[in-house]
Amino acid sequence: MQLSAVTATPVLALDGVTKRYGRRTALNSVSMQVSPGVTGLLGPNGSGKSTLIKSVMGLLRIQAGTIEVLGFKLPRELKAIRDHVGYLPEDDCYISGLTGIESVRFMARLSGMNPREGLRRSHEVLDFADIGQERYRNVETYSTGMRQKLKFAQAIVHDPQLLILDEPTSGLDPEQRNSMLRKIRNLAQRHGKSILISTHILHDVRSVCQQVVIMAVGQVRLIDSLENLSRPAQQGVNIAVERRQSATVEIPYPDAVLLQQTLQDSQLQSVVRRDGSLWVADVNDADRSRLWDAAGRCGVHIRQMSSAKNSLDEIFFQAVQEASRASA
Amino acid sequence: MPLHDVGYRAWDGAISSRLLRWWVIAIVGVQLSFRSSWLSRTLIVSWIPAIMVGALFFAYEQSIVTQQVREPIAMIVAMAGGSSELVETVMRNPEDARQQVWASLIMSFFRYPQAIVMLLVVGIVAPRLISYDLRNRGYLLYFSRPIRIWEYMLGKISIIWFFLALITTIPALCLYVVGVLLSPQVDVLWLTWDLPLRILAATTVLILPVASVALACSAMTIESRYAAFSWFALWVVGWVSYSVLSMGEWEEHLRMRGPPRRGELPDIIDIYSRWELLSPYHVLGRTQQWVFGLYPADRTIWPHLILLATVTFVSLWFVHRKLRSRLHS
Repeated sequence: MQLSAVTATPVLALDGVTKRYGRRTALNSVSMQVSPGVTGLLGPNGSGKSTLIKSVMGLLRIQAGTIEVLGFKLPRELKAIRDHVGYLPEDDCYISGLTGIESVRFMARLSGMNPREGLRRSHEVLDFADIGQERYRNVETYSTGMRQKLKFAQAIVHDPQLLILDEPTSGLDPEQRNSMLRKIRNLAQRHGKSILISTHILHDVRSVCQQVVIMAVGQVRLIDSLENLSRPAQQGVNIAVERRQSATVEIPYPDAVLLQQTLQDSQLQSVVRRDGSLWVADVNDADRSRLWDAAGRCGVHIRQMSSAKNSLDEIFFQAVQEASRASA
Repeated sequence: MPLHDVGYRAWDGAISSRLLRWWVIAIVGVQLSFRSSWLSRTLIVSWIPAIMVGALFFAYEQSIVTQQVREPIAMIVAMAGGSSELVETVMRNPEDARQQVWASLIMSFFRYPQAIVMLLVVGIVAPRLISYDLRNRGYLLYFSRPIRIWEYMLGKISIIWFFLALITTIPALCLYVVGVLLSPQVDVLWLTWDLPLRILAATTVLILPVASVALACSAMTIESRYAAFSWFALWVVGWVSYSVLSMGEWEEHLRMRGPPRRGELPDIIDIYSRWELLSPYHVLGRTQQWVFGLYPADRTIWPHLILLATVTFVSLWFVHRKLRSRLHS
């Protein structure tokens, strides 16, 4: 784990950022740099993700520290930042009384486009966001998923360099979610946009992000590339076993536990992971045959064996637990 | 699926000045407000008094050349709050009183029919301006763009400004133009050049505090109906308090002057009560009277001006604070 990452010129640089709401500290001296690409901002509820995003957008006034976005300093160059950043808020928000196309055009005009160009561009991004004829309907009649797509169209209408998406897939059905993730990948890979995604859904991070920032109790606990994080600290293999015995509250994965005990007798070090798989350390060819023997002896069926990788879930839970322990 | 889906495309067109973004808020707000059929009807009705005052302008200009029209015109001038000297001048030589009569007619137009219409128009337009944005969190969309709180407020105030100008400034200026066109003399422009400026000043005196208070009512709650209620309540409570507390002063005034003579109206409107600072309607009326040069020279207008300035400042400060606290929560 490390608290500094990145190589290229950062799109986002925070130094000692502190934000307090009364006596509660939402951001506690946060320092980090985010490089171009797609970055996942992870953290449990109340970890300070939304506060961090609102601070970056200049919506909140911080008590200490400095924030630089795309080289522009807050609060002096707030307008320049908002010119170059697209923001999709987590909250359900819309301008009452407007239709979908009018809403996007309004945002385009607030970003400085002339009326005609704003209208043309709005149709273009609404097509991209998969909003069809519904664009002529009042936004108050939209479903949650439609509103999410509309917010996405509003966020990209001025072609921002950096996109900040707060829970972009919430309220979307699985098909729409995949479509949204495809669009995010498309914007990053084909159009060179830098994207910061705040989410609870680890699958979304795995599928689109190159870097991960994990926050807990108002602090950044970890920043690194997904590739580095997936590399295990110790060599070994990951084993998935067939579930045959019924689980209990005390022992959720009895087959894996049984195999682990048998491997201990064979002098092989192993750990049952949170997802029910088994990690076996430092396996060479001789160990491999002992492993198969042990499985045969205890009657456990091995379904899959692969080189061990850290799972994002493990890393996330570990970081959050460490933070909770430290704060306690 | 669109007929011609071009996918995502970069955009690098020219952008307008950042200083004019509030203008976009104002334009979209005005367009949205016009979708209310009640507002359209009220606006149409609001121009009817202008036609009537236009007819009075015509009659007054006729009285310069036609002796018989002078008496009814003098009566109307008295009803509109004109002094006895002015009434006498109208009877004797209407040309000499033109500037004052025109000012009185336009002031009456501002103070009586348009004040009521203003109450209705602002009551329809203003309550939803900020309360809807607070309820639907639209403010997050505004402030994710290069816009500061004061620009947002300026945009919203401009919406109210537009509608108030539509029912006061524009008809008043039209009336002035009608007066000039109907006048049989060519030097009328020279004699009344200050009136358009007075109209603009009276509009500013009216719109700034009214729009600020209306925005404050809207920012107070996320329910527009409560905002509308507080807007109307403010005027009604002010009027009723003033009327009740001034009752004694009216009686004293009537006792001093004696019963009204034949053809004279008991001009209770023009009693200068010390309680009128409680009523927004009366404070605005007196200030407009001063702007049109019809306020008595021996009385001071400063308490009214200070009150209006304070109300405007406090209302704007309240709206700013409310928006900031919403953003920071």
